[in-house]
Amino acid sequence: MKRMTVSRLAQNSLRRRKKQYITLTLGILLAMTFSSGTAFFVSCISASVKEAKRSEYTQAARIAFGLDEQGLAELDSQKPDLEYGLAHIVGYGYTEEEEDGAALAWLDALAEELYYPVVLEGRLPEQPGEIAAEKDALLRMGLNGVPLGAAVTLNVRTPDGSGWLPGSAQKTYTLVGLLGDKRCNIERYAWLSPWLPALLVSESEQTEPGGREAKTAYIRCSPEYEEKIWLNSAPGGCADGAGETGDTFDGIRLKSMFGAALAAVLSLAAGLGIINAFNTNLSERKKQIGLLRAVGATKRQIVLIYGRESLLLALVCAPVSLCISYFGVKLIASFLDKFYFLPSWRTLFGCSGVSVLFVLTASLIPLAAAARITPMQAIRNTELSRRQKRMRIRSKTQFDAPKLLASRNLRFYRLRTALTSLLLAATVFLSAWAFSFAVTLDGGSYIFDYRISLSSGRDGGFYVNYDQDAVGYTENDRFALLSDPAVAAVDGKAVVNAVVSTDEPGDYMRLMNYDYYEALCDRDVTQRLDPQNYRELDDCPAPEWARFKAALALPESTAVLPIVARDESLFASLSRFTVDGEINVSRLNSGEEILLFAPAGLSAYLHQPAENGGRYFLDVWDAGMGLNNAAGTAIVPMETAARCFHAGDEITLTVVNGDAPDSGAGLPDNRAVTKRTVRIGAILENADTDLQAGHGSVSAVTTAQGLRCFTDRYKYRAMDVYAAETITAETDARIQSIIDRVTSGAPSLVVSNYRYLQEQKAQRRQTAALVLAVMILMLSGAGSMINNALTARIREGRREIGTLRAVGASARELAGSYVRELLVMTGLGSAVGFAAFIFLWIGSGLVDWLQYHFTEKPVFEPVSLWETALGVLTLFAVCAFNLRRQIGKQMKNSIVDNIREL
Amino acid sequence: MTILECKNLTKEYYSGENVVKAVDNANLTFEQGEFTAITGPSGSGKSTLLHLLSSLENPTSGEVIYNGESLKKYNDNQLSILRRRRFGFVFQAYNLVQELTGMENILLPVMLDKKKPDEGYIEKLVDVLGIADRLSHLPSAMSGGQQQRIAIARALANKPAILFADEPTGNLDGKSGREVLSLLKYVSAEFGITLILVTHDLGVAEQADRVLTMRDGVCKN
Repeated sequence: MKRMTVSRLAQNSLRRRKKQYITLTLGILLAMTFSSGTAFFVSCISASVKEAKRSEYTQAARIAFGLDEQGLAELDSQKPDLEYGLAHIVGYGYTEEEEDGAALAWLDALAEELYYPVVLEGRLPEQPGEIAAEKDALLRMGLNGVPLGAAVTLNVRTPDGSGWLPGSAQKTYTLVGLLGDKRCNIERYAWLSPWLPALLVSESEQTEPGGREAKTAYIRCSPEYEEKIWLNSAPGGCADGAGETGDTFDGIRLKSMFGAALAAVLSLAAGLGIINAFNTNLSERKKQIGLLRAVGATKRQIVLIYGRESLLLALVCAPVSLCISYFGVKLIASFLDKFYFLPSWRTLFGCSGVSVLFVLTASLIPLAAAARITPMQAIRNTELSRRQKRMRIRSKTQFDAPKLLASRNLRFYRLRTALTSLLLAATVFLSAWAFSFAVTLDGGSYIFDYRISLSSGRDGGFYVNYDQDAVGYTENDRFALLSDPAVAAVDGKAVVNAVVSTDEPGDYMRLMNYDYYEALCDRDVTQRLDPQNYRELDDCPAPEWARFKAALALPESTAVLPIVARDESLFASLSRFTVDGEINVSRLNSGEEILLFAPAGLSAYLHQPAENGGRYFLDVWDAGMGLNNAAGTAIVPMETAARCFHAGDEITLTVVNGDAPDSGAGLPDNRAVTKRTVRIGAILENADTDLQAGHGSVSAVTTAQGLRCFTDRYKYRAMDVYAAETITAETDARIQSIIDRVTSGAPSLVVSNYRYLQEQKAQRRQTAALVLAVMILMLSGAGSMINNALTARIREGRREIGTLRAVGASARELAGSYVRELLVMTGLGSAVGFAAFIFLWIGSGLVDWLQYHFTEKPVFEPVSLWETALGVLTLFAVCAFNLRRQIGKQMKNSIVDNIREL
Repeated sequence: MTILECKNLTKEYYSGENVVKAVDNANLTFEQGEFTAITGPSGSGKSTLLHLLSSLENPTSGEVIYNGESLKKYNDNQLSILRRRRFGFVFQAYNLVQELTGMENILLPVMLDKKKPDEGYIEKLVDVLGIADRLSHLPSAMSGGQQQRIAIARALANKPAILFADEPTGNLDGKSGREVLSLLKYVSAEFGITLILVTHDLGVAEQADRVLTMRDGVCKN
C-alpha cells in the first residue's frame, strides 16, 4: 500500500479537481506573468540607461581633447586612479562643398572599448583607405546617402600635434561602416571640436609627412574620482564621456517606471485574483477541510496540504509565465524608443523567484484563513450566521424577491463586494487614464506643410556677410517648389548681417551690442567677465569692431542689427503684434521702410559659472522674460533699458558683403557696402520667433524684395512650404522629390507635416493597441474575480437555489437576482473608477492652471471614456452570460438534487 | 374529488451499472382535503414518491395528474408557477432562505407571484403557528421548531391546494414534533388543504386519513 504523504494528498487533490484547477492555474499563470514582468521592467531601468548612455555617448567618464605631451604626462601621473585609451587623430576631413568636417582617427583597444562604437551598417575599418563614419558627420559634410562601399573624397588637414598644418590634401577613402552618432551628442556644436573623432580609420592609417598625430584621451575612473579630473593641459577642453541625465534618460526611467507600475498593478490584480480563486476553491472544500480537522489534522498540516498544491501549480507555471513575460516585455521594449531589454541570467532567476514567491504569498492569505476554520464551522457553515448576527435587518412585507435577495447578499458579503468593486474601480480608473493619455498623444500639426532648413551653417561675421558663409536656398529653389500645383506659397527666411546707426547713443543699443559681446569685445575682457567688471565691456579695446566703424565712418551709436526677410504673404498676419506704427508691404518692398522686431525692454543677465569650473557669460533677453527668471540663483540680473526706437524714426542700416580675410575676421578687402537710411514702419513685439535672426533679441524685418534694396547676395536659410490642398501620398512624393533636388546642394533638415501626421497616426495606433491589450487583461482580471465571486456563491448556494425553485422561483428570477448583484458590483466599481478619474483629471488640470497659467483659463486635456465604458459593458455581458450558464447548470439538476447535494 | 393522481409512476436511479427502482409503477389517487401519510423503512422510496408527486423531480416514466391535467405538458416555467400557487412544501431540514427574515420567508411565494399578500390570512397563519415574535428574525436566530413553523407558514402562504411534507418532524424533539404535526393537521383542516406527508413514525401515520406504505419502491394502501 502506498504511504500517504502531504504531497501525495495534494497531487491526488489536483487530479480529482482538474476542472476547478484549470481556472486557478490560469490565475496563477497571469499573476506570475505580471509579477515577473514587473521585475523585468524594474531590471530594465538601469540596463536601459546604461546602454543608452554608452550608445549615444561613450563609456568613458571624461574625454580630454587635443592632448599634448604635458597633458599625457598629467594623465599618467594620475594612474592608477584612472586609465585611458587614446584616439590617434591623423587628420581633419571635410568636403569641397562643406567646410564642416570631422576628425579622422584610429582608436587603441581601450579607447575603442570606451568609445563603444555602434555599427549601424557595415563594419569598422580594417585596412588603410577604409573609413567608418558617424551619421551626423556624413550629413555635415553633405555626404548623407552615400552607400557603403562607395569612394569618398575628402580634403584632409594634417595635425601638427596641437594645431593644424596650413593647407590640405585630397584623399579618397572607401566607406565601410555607418556608425551611430556620438560626437554631436557629446559636443552639440561639433565644428568647435576638431579633436573629437567622428570618422574612424584603421590603425595603419598615417598622418601626412610633416604632421604629428593629435591625441584625444577616453578616460575611465571611479565615479568619485571623475569630479577631480579637470585637466589643465588639454587645449581642446574636457567633456563628460557620458551625457548628463537628460531627457533621454528621464524618458527611459519614466517608461520603465510606467511599465513597472502597470505590471505591478496588474500583478496586484492577479494576486487578488489568486486570493479570490483560492478562496473560492477552499470555500467549496470547506467541508473537506472541516473533516480533515475533525480527524485530527493540525492547522499547519492543512496549510501544508493546500499550500503544496499552490507550490506545485506555481512551479509548473513558472517557466511558462517567465517565457510569456520575457517575450512580452521584449515586444513592448521594441515599441519603445531607446528602451533596452537586456536581462541577465541572474535577472531571469530573480524574476522567476519573485513570481513563485508572489503566488505563495497570495495563496497563503486564504490558506491561513482556511486553516483557522473549526470542524463544526466547516461542516455547518456557520460563517453566514456570524455575519448575520452582526447586522440589523429590517423585515419587509412588500418586496421584489430577486431584488431583495440580491441586496441582502451584497450586504452579508459586503467585504467581498467592496473588494471586487474596488478592483474594478482601479481597472476603470487606469483604463480611462490610459485611453485619455493615448488621446493626448495627439501632437497637433505644424502650421506649414514642409519646412526645409540648413542643418549646419556658418556665420562668422555677425556684422559683415562673408560670401563663403552664404549657403542656403536660392530664389530658383523657391520657384521650383512653387512650380508644383499643390504648393500655394513658399515662405523663405533669409538673414543678412547689418548694423544700425542712430544719432544718439543709448543704453538699449548698448545692450543690443551686448548680445554679441564675444564678437565685439576683446577676448581678455570676455574671459574674465564677472559682476564687478561687467561694465568694462563698454570700453573694452575691440580692434576689429573699432576698425569696422572707422572704415565705414559709422557713428558711435552703432549696433548690430540683423535683417530678416520673409515672404510677403506673412505680413498680413503680423499686424496683431504691432505696438507702434503700421505695416505697409509696398513701402517695405520699395525699401523705404523696415519693421523692427524689438522688445519694449532689454535686460542683461550674467550666468554664474558651474561649481566645477567655467566662467561667467552674458545673456540679453526681453526684459519681461528676464523678470520672471530673476529669482533664479544661477542668473544675476545686471541692467534693463527701455526701447529707444519709435515708428517713423529714421535709422541708417549698413550692409557689408565680401570674402573673409585670411585672419578669418574683420572687414573684407573686396567689400561691397550698402548704406541706406530707412524709416521704421512699425515696431513689433512678442511675435513669431522666426522673425529673429537666430542670434540677438532685436532684428529688422522686411520682405525679400525689400531685402534686395540692401543686397542681393543672400540665400534663404529656411523655407516653409504651404500646400494649396490636403497633402496625399501622391502629392507628398512629388513635393518630396522637388525638396530632394533643392536640398541636394546644402545639408538640410526637412520636416514634413504629412509624414509627421502619418508617424503620429502610427504611434497612436501602436499606443492604442498596447493600451487596449492591457485594458483587456485588466478587465479580464477584474471580470474573473467578479465571476469567481458569483460562481462561488452559486455553487455554495445550491441548496438555496433548490429551495427557491421549490417555492416557485423560475430560472429567470433566479438569474435576475444574481445579475442584480453583478450590476451593483460593476456599477459601483465603474462609478467609483470613473469618478476618481474625472476628479483627478480635472484636478490635475486645475493644479496645472494654478501653477503655470493662473492668469489664463484652465486647460483640461480631452478625455476618452467610451473604450473603458465599452470594456465594462462587455465585462458585464460576459459575466451575466456566465451567470446564466451557471444558473442553467443548476436548473438542469432536479430541485431535490439541488437541496440534497449538500 | 380527486385532486392529484399518478399513473404508472416510476423513478429509476443508476448506481454504476445497477439500476435501482426508487418508485416502481405507482398508481395512486389523492382526494381533496384528505390527509395521507406515506410510511416505510429508510430507502423504501417514500421521499422520492413525494418529490415526484410534487414535481420537484421528474419521473423516469409514468405521469402525475393535477386537477385532471398531466404535469408532463408543463414546461419549467409553468411548473414554477404551479408550485408557487398550488403546492406547498415542508422539508425535514426546513430549507429557509438564510438571507431573509421569518416574515420575508413566509411571503416569498406570494412575492414571487407578484401578488398582494392577504394580510388577514397571513396574520391568522402566524397566529395559529405561534410565530409572531420570530417574524423579524433571520433563520439563524431561530430554533429548529421555530424554523419549521416558518417553513409551514411559507408553504401555506399562497393558500395551496396541496401541502407536501417530507418528514417535517424528523429534525425536531418529541414535543416540537407533536406540536408541528397537530399544526399541520389543524391548518390543512382549517383551510381545506390536501396534506401528503412522508414519515417513518407510525405514531404520526396513525393520525392520517389514509396510510400508504412503501417497500422497495412499491406502494401499497
